[in-house]
Amino acid sequence: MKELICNNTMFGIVLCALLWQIGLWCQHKIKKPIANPLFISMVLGVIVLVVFDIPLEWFRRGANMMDMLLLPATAALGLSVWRQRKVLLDNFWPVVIGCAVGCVVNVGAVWGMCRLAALDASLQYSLLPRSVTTPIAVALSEQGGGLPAITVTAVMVTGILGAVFAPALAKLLRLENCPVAVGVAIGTSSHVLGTTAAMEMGPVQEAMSSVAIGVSGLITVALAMLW
Amino acid sequence: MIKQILVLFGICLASVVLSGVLPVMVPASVLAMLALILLLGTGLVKEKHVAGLCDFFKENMAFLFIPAGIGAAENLEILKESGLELVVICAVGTLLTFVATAFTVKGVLALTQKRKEHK
Repeated sequence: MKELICNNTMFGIVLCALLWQIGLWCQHKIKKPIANPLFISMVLGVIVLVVFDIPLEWFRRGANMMDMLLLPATAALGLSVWRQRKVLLDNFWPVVIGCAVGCVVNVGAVWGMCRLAALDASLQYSLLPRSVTTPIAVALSEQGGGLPAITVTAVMVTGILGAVFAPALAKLLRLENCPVAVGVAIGTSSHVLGTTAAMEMGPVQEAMSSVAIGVSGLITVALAMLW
Repeated sequence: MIKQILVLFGICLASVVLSGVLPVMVPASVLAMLALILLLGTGLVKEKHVAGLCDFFKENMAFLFIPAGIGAAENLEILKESGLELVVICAVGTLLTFVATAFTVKGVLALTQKRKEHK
Protein backbone atom coordinates (compact mmCIF):
# COMPACT_ATOMS: atom_id res chain seq x y z
CA MET A 1 0.00 0.00 0.00
CA LYS A 2 2.78 2.42 0.94
CA GLU A 3 4.54 1.76 -2.35
CA LEU A 4 1.30 2.31 -4.26
CA ILE A 5 0.83 5.73 -2.65
CA CYS A 6 4.44 6.91 -2.63
CA ASN A 7 6.22 5.28 -5.57
CA ASN A 8 4.81 7.39 -8.41
CA THR A 9 5.50 10.76 -10.04
CA MET A 10 2.63 12.56 -8.30
CA PHE A 11 3.67 11.82 -4.71
CA GLY A 12 6.79 14.04 -4.61
CA ILE A 13 4.98 17.02 -6.10
CA VAL A 14 1.91 16.66 -3.87
CA LEU A 15 4.11 16.29 -0.79
CA CYS A 16 6.09 19.45 -1.67
CA ALA A 17 2.91 21.43 -2.37
CA LEU A 18 1.44 20.30 0.96
CA LEU A 19 4.65 21.12 2.85
CA TRP A 20 4.74 24.55 1.19
CA GLN A 21 1.18 25.30 2.34
CA ILE A 22 2.13 24.31 5.89
CA GLY A 23 5.26 26.48 5.59
CA LEU A 24 3.21 29.49 4.46
CA TRP A 25 0.74 28.92 7.28
CA CYS A 26 3.56 28.84 9.86
CA GLN A 27 5.08 32.02 8.37
CA HIS A 28 1.70 33.72 8.64
CA LYS A 29 1.26 32.61 12.27
CA ILE A 30 4.79 33.14 13.61
CA LYS A 31 5.74 36.29 11.64
CA LYS A 32 9.46 35.92 12.46
CA PRO A 33 12.23 35.66 9.83
CA ILE A 34 13.18 32.21 11.15
CA ALA A 35 9.72 30.98 10.02
CA ASN A 36 10.95 30.86 6.43
CA PRO A 37 8.48 28.68 4.46
CA LEU A 38 11.24 26.93 2.51
CA PHE A 39 13.18 26.09 5.67
CA ILE A 40 10.04 24.76 7.37
CA SER A 41 9.09 22.72 4.28
CA MET A 42 12.57 21.19 4.10
CA VAL A 43 12.69 20.18 7.74
CA LEU A 44 9.16 18.73 7.67
CA GLY A 45 9.94 16.93 4.40
CA VAL A 46 12.97 15.20 5.88
CA ILE A 47 10.93 14.26 8.97
CA VAL A 48 8.12 12.80 6.81
CA LEU A 49 10.53 10.73 4.72
CA VAL A 50 12.38 9.42 7.78
CA VAL A 51 9.34 8.73 9.99
CA PHE A 52 7.37 6.93 7.27
CA ASP A 53 10.56 5.29 5.98
CA ILE A 54 9.93 6.43 2.40
CA PRO A 55 12.92 5.80 0.08
CA LEU A 56 14.41 8.94 -1.43
CA GLU A 57 14.12 7.42 -4.93
CA TRP A 58 10.33 7.32 -4.62
CA PHE A 59 10.20 10.97 -3.58
CA ARG A 60 12.67 11.85 -6.35
CA ARG A 61 10.35 10.58 -9.11
CA GLY A 62 8.11 13.62 -8.71
CA ALA A 63 10.73 15.92 -7.19
CA ASN A 64 12.95 15.60 -10.29
CA MET A 65 10.28 17.44 -12.27
CA MET A 66 10.51 20.38 -9.89
CA ASP A 67 14.33 20.32 -10.13
CA MET A 68 13.97 20.46 -13.90
CA LEU A 69 11.99 23.71 -13.58
CA LEU A 70 14.85 25.46 -11.72
CA LEU A 71 16.56 26.21 -15.05
CA PRO A 72 13.68 28.17 -16.64
CA ALA A 73 12.95 29.76 -13.24
CA THR A 74 16.51 31.11 -13.02
CA ALA A 75 16.35 32.22 -16.66
CA ALA A 76 13.12 34.08 -15.85
CA LEU A 77 15.17 36.41 -13.61
CA GLY A 78 16.45 37.89 -16.87
CA LEU A 79 13.10 39.64 -17.20
CA SER A 80 13.59 41.38 -13.81
CA VAL A 81 16.96 42.63 -15.01
CA TRP A 82 15.45 43.82 -18.29
CA ARG A 83 12.68 45.71 -16.52
CA GLN A 84 15.28 47.48 -14.34
CA ARG A 85 17.82 48.02 -17.14
CA LYS A 86 17.95 51.75 -16.53
CA VAL A 87 18.93 51.27 -12.87
CA LEU A 88 21.55 48.72 -13.92
CA LEU A 89 23.13 50.94 -16.58
CA ASP A 90 23.14 53.91 -14.18
CA ASN A 91 24.94 51.79 -11.57
CA PHE A 92 27.04 49.55 -13.80
CA TRP A 93 30.46 49.94 -12.12
CA PRO A 94 29.22 49.92 -8.51
CA VAL A 95 27.43 46.64 -9.28
CA VAL A 96 30.39 44.96 -11.00
CA ILE A 97 32.99 46.15 -8.47
CA GLY A 98 30.70 45.19 -5.58
CA CYS A 99 30.29 41.67 -6.96
CA ALA A 100 34.03 41.30 -7.50
CA VAL A 101 34.90 42.42 -3.96
CA GLY A 102 32.16 40.18 -2.54
CA CYS A 103 33.45 37.11 -4.40
CA VAL A 104 37.03 37.70 -3.28
CA VAL A 105 35.93 38.21 0.34
CA ASN A 106 33.81 35.06 0.20
CA VAL A 107 36.58 32.85 -1.16
CA GLY A 108 39.15 34.42 1.20
CA ALA A 109 36.94 34.06 4.28
CA VAL A 110 35.98 30.46 3.56
CA TRP A 111 39.57 29.53 2.77
CA GLY A 112 40.78 31.16 5.99
CA MET A 113 38.13 29.50 8.15
CA CYS A 114 38.79 26.07 6.60
CA ARG A 115 42.46 26.53 7.46
CA LEU A 116 41.63 27.64 11.00
CA ALA A 117 39.34 24.67 11.57
CA ALA A 118 41.98 22.41 9.97
CA LEU A 119 39.39 20.85 7.66
CA ASP A 120 40.75 18.47 5.06
CA ALA A 121 41.29 19.62 1.49
CA SER A 122 38.27 17.89 -0.05
CA LEU A 123 35.96 19.64 2.41
CA GLN A 124 37.65 22.96 1.73
CA TYR A 125 37.18 22.66 -2.05
CA SER A 126 33.56 21.67 -1.45
CA LEU A 127 32.93 24.87 0.52
CA LEU A 128 34.87 27.44 -1.51
CA PRO A 129 32.25 27.94 -4.26
CA ARG A 130 29.23 27.74 -1.92
CA SER A 131 27.99 31.31 -2.47
CA VAL A 132 27.10 30.88 -6.16
CA THR A 133 24.20 29.17 -7.89
CA THR A 134 24.12 25.34 -7.61
CA PRO A 135 25.22 24.29 -11.13
CA ILE A 136 28.32 26.53 -11.00
CA ALA A 137 29.13 25.55 -7.42
CA VAL A 138 28.97 21.81 -8.13
CA ALA A 139 31.11 22.05 -11.25
CA LEU A 140 33.76 24.14 -9.44
CA SER A 141 33.72 21.79 -6.46
CA GLU A 142 34.34 18.73 -8.68
CA GLN A 143 37.05 20.57 -10.57
CA GLY A 144 38.96 21.26 -7.33
CA GLY A 145 38.47 17.77 -5.90
CA GLY A 146 35.57 18.56 -3.57
CA LEU A 147 32.47 16.46 -2.88
CA PRO A 148 29.35 17.64 -4.76
CA ALA A 149 26.97 16.42 -2.03
CA ILE A 150 28.65 18.67 0.56
CA THR A 151 28.69 21.56 -1.89
CA VAL A 152 24.95 21.26 -2.56
CA THR A 153 24.30 21.16 1.18
CA ALA A 154 26.49 24.22 1.75
CA VAL A 155 24.83 26.10 -1.13
CA MET A 156 21.40 25.40 0.38
CA VAL A 157 22.50 26.37 3.92
CA THR A 158 23.98 29.59 2.52
CA GLY A 159 20.84 30.37 0.52
CA ILE A 160 18.49 29.78 3.43
CA LEU A 161 20.65 31.86 5.77
CA GLY A 162 20.64 34.65 3.18
CA ALA A 163 16.89 34.49 2.64
CA VAL A 164 16.19 34.46 6.37
CA PHE A 165 18.66 37.07 7.61
CA ALA A 166 19.34 39.42 4.67
CA PRO A 167 16.31 41.69 5.26
CA ALA A 168 17.21 42.10 8.95
CA LEU A 169 20.87 42.63 8.09
CA ALA A 170 19.98 45.36 5.58
CA LYS A 171 17.99 47.11 8.30
CA LEU A 172 20.73 46.67 10.91
CA LEU A 173 23.35 48.19 8.59
CA ARG A 174 20.96 51.05 7.73
CA LEU A 175 20.99 50.26 4.02
CA GLU A 176 17.26 50.78 3.39
CA ASN A 177 17.93 53.94 1.40
CA CYS A 178 20.37 52.13 -0.87
CA PRO A 179 18.37 49.37 -2.63
CA VAL A 180 21.10 48.79 -5.22
CA ALA A 181 23.66 47.90 -2.52
CA VAL A 182 21.20 45.59 -0.75
CA GLY A 183 20.27 43.79 -3.99
CA VAL A 184 23.85 43.24 -5.11
CA ALA A 185 24.87 42.08 -1.62
CA ILE A 186 22.04 39.54 -1.46
CA GLY A 187 22.72 38.11 -4.93
CA THR A 188 26.47 37.91 -4.33
CA SER A 189 26.29 36.37 -0.87
CA SER A 190 23.33 34.00 -1.26
CA HIS A 191 22.45 33.43 -4.95
CA VAL A 192 18.90 32.60 -6.12
CA LEU A 193 17.55 31.65 -2.71
CA GLY A 194 18.57 34.97 -1.22
CA THR A 195 17.00 36.63 -4.25
CA THR A 196 13.62 35.23 -3.19
CA ALA A 197 13.94 37.49 -0.13
CA ALA A 198 15.07 40.41 -2.31
CA MET A 199 11.85 40.05 -4.32
CA GLU A 200 9.82 40.89 -1.25
CA MET A 201 11.91 44.02 -0.63
CA GLY A 202 11.27 45.68 -4.00
CA PRO A 203 11.83 45.56 -7.78
CA VAL A 204 15.25 47.27 -7.67
CA GLN A 205 16.57 44.86 -5.02
CA GLU A 206 15.18 41.93 -7.03
CA ALA A 207 16.77 43.01 -10.31
CA MET A 208 20.15 43.90 -8.77
CA SER A 209 20.17 40.60 -6.90
CA SER A 210 19.45 38.76 -10.16
CA VAL A 211 22.26 40.59 -11.96
CA ALA A 212 24.62 39.81 -9.08
CA ILE A 213 23.92 36.05 -9.37
CA GLY A 214 25.17 36.06 -12.95
CA VAL A 215 28.11 38.44 -12.44
CA SER A 216 29.29 36.74 -9.21
CA GLY A 217 28.94 33.33 -10.82
CA LEU A 218 31.23 34.33 -13.67
CA ILE A 219 33.74 36.05 -11.34
CA THR A 220 33.86 32.97 -9.10
CA VAL A 221 34.51 30.76 -12.15
CA ALA A 222 37.48 33.01 -12.92
CA LEU A 223 38.66 32.93 -9.27
CA ALA A 224 38.48 29.13 -9.28
CA MET A 225 41.33 29.05 -11.76
CA LEU A 226 43.55 30.31 -8.92
CA TRP A 227 42.71 27.67 -6.32
CA MET B 1 0.81 30.30 -22.56
CA ILE B 2 2.18 27.57 -24.87
CA LYS B 3 3.89 30.30 -26.89
CA GLN B 4 5.56 31.53 -23.68
CA ILE B 5 6.69 27.99 -22.86
CA LEU B 6 8.11 27.70 -26.37
CA VAL B 7 10.09 30.93 -26.00
CA LEU B 8 11.40 30.48 -22.43
CA PHE B 9 12.09 26.72 -22.60
CA GLY B 10 13.50 27.19 -26.10
CA ILE B 11 16.02 29.69 -24.70
CA CYS B 12 16.84 27.16 -21.95
CA LEU B 13 17.37 24.37 -24.49
CA ALA B 14 19.67 26.55 -26.58
CA SER B 15 21.60 27.46 -23.40
CA VAL B 16 22.02 23.81 -22.39
CA VAL B 17 23.44 23.06 -25.86
CA LEU B 18 25.67 26.14 -25.84
CA SER B 19 26.92 25.36 -22.32
CA GLY B 20 27.95 21.90 -23.52
CA VAL B 21 29.76 23.25 -26.58
CA LEU B 22 31.60 26.19 -24.96
CA PRO B 23 35.23 25.49 -24.02
CA VAL B 24 34.94 27.45 -20.74
CA MET B 25 32.54 26.43 -18.00
CA VAL B 26 29.46 28.65 -17.95
CA PRO B 27 26.32 27.01 -16.57
CA ALA B 28 23.17 26.89 -18.68
CA SER B 29 21.17 28.90 -16.12
CA VAL B 30 23.48 31.93 -16.39
CA LEU B 31 23.58 31.63 -20.19
CA ALA B 32 19.79 31.42 -20.34
CA MET B 33 19.40 34.52 -18.18
CA LEU B 34 21.88 36.45 -20.36
CA ALA B 35 20.19 35.18 -23.54
CA LEU B 36 16.78 36.35 -22.36
CA ILE B 37 18.13 39.83 -21.55
CA LEU B 38 19.89 39.95 -24.93
CA LEU B 39 16.77 38.87 -26.86
CA LEU B 40 14.64 41.43 -24.99
CA GLY B 41 17.30 44.05 -25.72
CA THR B 42 17.38 43.36 -29.45
CA GLY B 43 13.57 43.29 -29.59
CA LEU B 44 13.50 39.73 -30.98
CA VAL B 45 11.50 38.76 -27.90
CA LYS B 46 8.94 41.21 -26.52
CA GLU B 47 8.15 41.43 -22.83
CA LYS B 48 4.60 40.17 -23.44
CA HIS B 49 6.00 36.99 -25.03
CA VAL B 50 7.44 35.79 -21.71
CA ALA B 51 6.01 37.99 -18.94
CA GLY B 52 3.24 35.69 -17.69
CA LEU B 53 5.40 32.60 -17.40
CA CYS B 54 8.45 34.46 -16.02
CA ASP B 55 6.38 36.16 -13.34
CA PHE B 56 4.84 32.82 -12.39
CA PHE B 57 8.29 31.26 -11.98
CA LYS B 58 9.65 34.20 -10.00
CA GLU B 59 6.70 34.24 -7.62
CA ASN B 60 7.09 30.51 -6.94
CA MET B 61 10.86 30.22 -7.03
CA ALA B 62 11.33 29.23 -3.38
CA PHE B 63 8.77 26.42 -3.72
CA LEU B 64 10.81 24.84 -6.53
CA PHE B 65 13.80 24.56 -4.18
CA ILE B 66 12.09 22.22 -1.69
CA PRO B 67 13.35 18.97 -3.34
CA ALA B 68 16.91 20.34 -3.57
CA GLY B 69 16.74 21.24 0.12
CA ILE B 70 15.39 17.87 1.17
CA GLY B 71 18.03 16.16 -0.98
CA ALA B 72 20.77 18.21 0.71
CA ALA B 73 19.49 17.41 4.19
CA GLU B 74 19.66 13.73 3.27
CA ASN B 75 23.46 13.95 3.47
CA LEU B 76 23.03 13.44 7.19
CA GLU B 77 26.30 11.51 7.67
CA ILE B 78 28.36 14.44 6.46
CA LEU B 79 26.33 16.81 8.60
CA LYS B 80 26.80 14.62 11.67
CA GLU B 81 30.55 14.60 11.17
CA SER B 82 31.28 18.24 10.30
CA GLY B 83 27.85 19.84 10.30
CA LEU B 84 28.67 22.49 12.88
CA GLU B 85 31.80 23.64 11.04
CA LEU B 86 29.85 23.70 7.79
CA VAL B 87 27.04 25.85 9.17
CA VAL B 88 29.42 28.23 10.98
CA ILE B 89 31.61 28.66 7.88
CA CYS B 90 28.54 29.29 5.70
CA ALA B 91 27.06 31.76 8.18
CA VAL B 92 30.23 33.78 8.78
CA GLY B 93 31.16 33.65 5.07
CA THR B 94 27.71 34.85 4.02
CA LEU B 95 27.74 37.66 6.59
CA LEU B 96 31.20 38.91 5.57
CA THR B 97 30.35 38.67 1.85
CA PHE B 98 27.10 40.57 2.36
CA VAL B 99 28.73 43.38 4.37
CA ALA B 100 31.74 43.69 2.02
CA THR B 101 29.56 43.77 -1.09
CA ALA B 102 26.97 46.19 0.27
CA PHE B 103 29.52 48.73 1.49
CA THR B 104 31.63 48.46 -1.67
CA VAL B 105 28.57 49.24 -3.79
CA LYS B 106 27.62 52.08 -1.47
CA GLY B 107 31.16 53.47 -1.54
CA VAL B 108 31.57 53.31 -5.31
CA LEU B 109 28.10 54.86 -5.72
CA ALA B 110 29.09 57.77 -3.50
CA LEU B 111 32.34 58.22 -5.43
CA THR B 112 30.66 58.26 -8.85
CA GLN B 113 28.01 60.67 -7.56
CA LYS B 114 30.69 63.05 -6.28
CA ARG B 115 32.39 62.95 -9.68
CA LYS B 116 29.12 63.71 -11.44
CA GLU B 117 28.52 66.68 -9.15
CA HIS B 118 32.08 67.85 -9.81
CA LYS B 119 31.40 67.90 -13.53
